[in-house]
Amino acid sequence: MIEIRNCSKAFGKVQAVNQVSMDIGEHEVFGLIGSNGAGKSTLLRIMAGIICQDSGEVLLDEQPVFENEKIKEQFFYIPDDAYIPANYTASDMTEYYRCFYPGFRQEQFEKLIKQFHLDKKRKISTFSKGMKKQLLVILGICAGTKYLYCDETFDGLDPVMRQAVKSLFASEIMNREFTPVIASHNLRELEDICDHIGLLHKGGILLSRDLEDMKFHIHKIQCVLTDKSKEEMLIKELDVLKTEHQGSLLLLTVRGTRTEIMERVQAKNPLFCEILPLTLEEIFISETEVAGYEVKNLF
Amino acid sequence: MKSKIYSSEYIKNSSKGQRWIPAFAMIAFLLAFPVAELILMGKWNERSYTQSQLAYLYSSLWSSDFLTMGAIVAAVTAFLAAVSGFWYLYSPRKVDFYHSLPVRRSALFLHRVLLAAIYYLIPYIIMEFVAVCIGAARGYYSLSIMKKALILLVIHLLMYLLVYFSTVLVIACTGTMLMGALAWAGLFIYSIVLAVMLQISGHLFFDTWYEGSYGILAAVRDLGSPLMVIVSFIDKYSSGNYGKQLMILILVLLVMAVLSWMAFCRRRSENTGKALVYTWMEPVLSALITIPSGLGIGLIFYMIPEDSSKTAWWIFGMILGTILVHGILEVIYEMDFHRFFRRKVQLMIFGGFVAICALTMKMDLLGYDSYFPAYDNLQGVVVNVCNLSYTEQLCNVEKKENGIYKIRYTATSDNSSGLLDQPVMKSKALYNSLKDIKLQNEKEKRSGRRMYVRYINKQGFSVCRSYSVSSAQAQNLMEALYDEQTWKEDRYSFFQLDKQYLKEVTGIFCDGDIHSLFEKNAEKRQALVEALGKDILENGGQTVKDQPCAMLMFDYTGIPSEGYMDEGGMNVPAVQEGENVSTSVLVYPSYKRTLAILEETGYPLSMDELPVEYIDVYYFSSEAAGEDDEAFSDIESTSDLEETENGYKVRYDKKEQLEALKKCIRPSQLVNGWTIWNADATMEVVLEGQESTGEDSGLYMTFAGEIPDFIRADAKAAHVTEWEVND
Repeated sequence: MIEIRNCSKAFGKVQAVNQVSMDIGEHEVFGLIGSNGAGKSTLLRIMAGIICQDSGEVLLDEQPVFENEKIKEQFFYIPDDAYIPANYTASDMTEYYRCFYPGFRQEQFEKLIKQFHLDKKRKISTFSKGMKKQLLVILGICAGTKYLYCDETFDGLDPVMRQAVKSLFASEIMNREFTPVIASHNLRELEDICDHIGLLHKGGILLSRDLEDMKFHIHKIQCVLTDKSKEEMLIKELDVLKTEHQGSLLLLTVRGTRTEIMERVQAKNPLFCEILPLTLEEIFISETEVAGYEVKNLF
Repeated sequence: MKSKIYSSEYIKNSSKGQRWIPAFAMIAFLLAFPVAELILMGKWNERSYTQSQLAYLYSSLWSSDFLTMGAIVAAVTAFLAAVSGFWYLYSPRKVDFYHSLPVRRSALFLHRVLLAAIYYLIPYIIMEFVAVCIGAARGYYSLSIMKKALILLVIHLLMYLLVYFSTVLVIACTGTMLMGALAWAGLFIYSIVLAVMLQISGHLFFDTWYEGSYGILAAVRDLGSPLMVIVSFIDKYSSGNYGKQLMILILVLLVMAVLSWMAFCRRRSENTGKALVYTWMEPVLSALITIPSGLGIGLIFYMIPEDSSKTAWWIFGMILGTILVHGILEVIYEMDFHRFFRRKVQLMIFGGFVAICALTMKMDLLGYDSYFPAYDNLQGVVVNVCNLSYTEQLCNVEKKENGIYKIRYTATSDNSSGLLDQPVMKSKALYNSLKDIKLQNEKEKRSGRRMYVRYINKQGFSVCRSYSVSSAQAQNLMEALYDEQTWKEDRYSFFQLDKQYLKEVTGIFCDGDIHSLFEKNAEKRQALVEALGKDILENGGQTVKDQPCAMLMFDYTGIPSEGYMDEGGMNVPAVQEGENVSTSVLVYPSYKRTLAILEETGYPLSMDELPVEYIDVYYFSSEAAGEDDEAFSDIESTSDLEETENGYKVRYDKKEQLEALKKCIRPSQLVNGWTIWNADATMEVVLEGQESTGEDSGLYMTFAGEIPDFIRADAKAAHVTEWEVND
C-alpha cells in the first residue's frame, strides 16, 4: 500500500504539491487526474523516489521511498518522455533492467514483445513514439514489480494498443499483486480502467475516491419545477456543484446518492425530473469548477 | 550484501555506449608509452652513448618523460570518463531514468567510479607492460624498472582520479552545460589567474614587491587548482624529493572525492536546469569571481594610460568590471537578461570589498613596503646581489666524502631561485645596510638595479622583498657582505674543486685583453687559485671600496658531479662524469698574495702601467639638448669639439689630461657592477705606437670613478644629458 501523508513540494516560489494526503491500495488501478500544472507528474516523481518531498511522507509498505533500494524494487516508473540509453535495443534494456529488478520475467517479455509485434533486436531510437510506449509498458509489466507508475502512458498509443495495454493490466491484476498508478489527462481512458481516482488541482488533492463511489455520490439532475421559490429551496437543500438553466429546465450537478437527491426533488413536486450519471470528465469539470478552475475564468 | 550493480553483467551492460573511452585511452597510452619509448630509443641509438649513459637515460624516461606524457593522457581520459559518466545530470529525462532505478545514489556513484577506473586501468596496464617489455627486449629489464613502473601506475592513477573527481564535482554542482564549462575552467585555472593578478598588482602598487612565488602566493597558485597540484608534483617528482607534493596530491584527491560524492548524493534531481544546483553557492561563486574580476579589470585600465589620469581610469575599470561581471553571473544564474541588476545589495557589498582591496593596495594599508623586521626578531637574512655584482660568474660547489661534487647554479639573477640555497647571515652591519636601503626605497621611487632579500624571522617564516639600490648603498651592502665569512665561503666555494680538474686560467688586465696564464705551469695555476682563495677569505669589506685591477677566469673540466639516477625505483644521486665549470673572479688591490703572483705575468695591474698615447672621447648629444640641459658643470669647456654623426668627439692627449683620465677609466670587465657610470659617452684608448681604429676593434673603456672637471665641461658643451652614476 502506498501512503502519502501531507506531502508538499515547492520548486522555488511555485508550490507544485501542497499538503497532499492519499492512500493507494493494492489490486486496483489508481488514476491520478488533474488540471495542467496540478502536480501529477511531480507527485509521481516523488512516489518514484526521484525527488524528495519538502515535507510530509511517502510510504510504500510502511517504508519511506526516497533512497530506499529495497522499496524501489517494488515499483517501475514510466515517465511521460522516457529516456532510453543511446544504441540500446529492447534486448539490451531487458538485460539492463534484469540487474535492478530481481523479479524480471524474461519469458513473459519474449511473449509480449512478439504479441505487440516489436523487434527486440532493433535499436529503440528507431522506434516510433507509440512503439517506445508499448515497449516501456511491456518492460514495466515484465519487471515484476508490485506497482507500475505510468505518466501519460496512453498518449501516443493507438486505440488497439490502448485496449491491449488495458487488457494486459487487467490480466496482471488478476494473476498477481499488481497496482498500476496512471497519471493522465485522458479521462475517457481512465474511466474505463480505473478503480480509484485521485483528483489534483493546484498542487492540492481535491478528492480521492473509488470511481464507482464517486459516481454514486455525484449526479446530474434535469427537472422542471412549478415555482421559482421551490427551485431556490431545492438548491439550498442540495449540495449543488453547478447550476444551469435551459428555458424552464433546471440542470443541477449535485453531490449525494441517487436516493437522497430524488427524495429532495420529489418533495418539490416537479413537473419533470430525471437523474443522470456523470462521466469522469463531467465530474472532473464540476469538481475543478468548484475549485475555481473553469474556462470562463481563463478569458 | 554485494550490490547488484557491481556484478559483471551490469558492468558489461552499463558500459555499452561508453566503450570508446577505454579505446581512446588504449590508443593514447600506446602513443605515450610504447611508441614514445621506441622513438626515443631510436634517437639514442643515433648517438654514441655509453652503456651507463643509456641506462641513465632509460631510467630518466620512467621518472620524467613517461610521467609527463602519462599525466596528460590520464587527465584527458579522466575528463572524458567523468563527463561520460555524469553528463546525464544535465538532462531531466536522464535524471528521471537513472534516479528512479532501485539503487542508492552512493552506490550509483561508486559504480561509475569503478567503471571509470576500469576504463583507465586496463589500457594503462596493458600499454605500460608493453613498454616494460620493449625496454627488457633492449636489455633494460631490472627490478628497479618494474618498481618504477608500479610507482608510475599508482601516481598516474592518483592524477587520473583527481581530475576525474574534480570534473564530477563540477558536474554535480552545476545544472547546465554552460555553467558546467565555466565552472570547470574556473576550478582548473582560477588559482593561476589569481596568482598572476596578484603578481601584477604587486608590481604596480608595491615598490618592494618580490616577484618570486613563496608563502601564501605560492600556496594559492600551487594548491588552488587540481591542475597546479599535478604540475607541482611533476616538477618535484624527477628530483626524487616529492614526498610533500605526494601528500598534497593525495589530500586534494581525498577532498575532491568526498566533495564530489557529497555533491552527487545530495544533489536534488529537480534542480537540473538551474545554473547552480546548490543555490547557496551563487553568492559564494559570485564573490570569488566578481571581486577579483573587478580588481583585474581595474588593473587593465590602470596600465593603459601613462599620465596622471590612470587613477581615474583605474576606478572606472573597477566599477565597470564589478558591475559587468556581477551582472553577467546573475544573467547566467537566472538565464534571463532582465536579471542583470538582481541582488543590488550584494553588488554593493562586492563593490565595497573591491574598494577595500584597492585601497589596501594603493595606500599599502597592510604595510607591505614598510615591512622591516626588528633586529632581535631576526633569525637571519639571505641576500641575492647578482644584479649588483654581475661581473663575477660563480657557482656553488660542495665536496662530498667520496670525492664527488655537488654543483649548484642557484646564485643567479633569477630572484625566485636565488634566495633558496644561499647562506643565512646575521650581522649588525648587514642589517643596517639593508635598513638604509629600505628607508631610501620608502623615501623615493627609483628604477634600475634591484636586489632581493629574504628575511627569516625567529618564528621561522620568511618574508621576501626586492629593493632598488643606489651605487653607494650597493657598495655599503657589498662591504657588509664581504665581512661575512659564511657568505664568502659559499660564494667562492668553487675553490674546493680539486686541482686536477683545473685546465686553464685566463685573466683580463688593465689593457682590456684576455691573457692565458701559466699555460705550462699547473703548479703555478693552482698556487694562484689558493692565493686568491686565501685573499678573499682574509680580506674584509674594505676590499670592495677599490676598483678591481684584474679579473681571473678558471676553467675546470671533467668534474665528477652528482646527477640523478634510478636506484630501487627512486631517484637517487648518481655520478655524472665530465661536468665543466667556468668561473670568473675580480682581483682587488688588497689581494696581495694574488697580485704577487700576477705581477710575474707582466700584464698591467693598474691604469698607470698603461702607456697611453691619447684618448678619444665620443659624446653623444641629445636632439632635445638646449639651454634647459641639466647643468652638471659650472666650468666652461676649452676643448676642441669635433662634430660627428651622433654628437662630438674630443681628443685628450695632454699628459695631465691623460693622468686625470687614467684615474677614472678602466676596461668594463674591471669595474664593480655598482659603480658604472651611465653616460652618453664612450672612449677609445690608443696606446703608444698604435693608431686609432675608430671601430669596435679598438680598446674601449668606461668611466668608473671621480670624473675630472674638464670632461664634465666638455660633456656639457656637447649637450650630453645623461651623465650620472647608474642608480
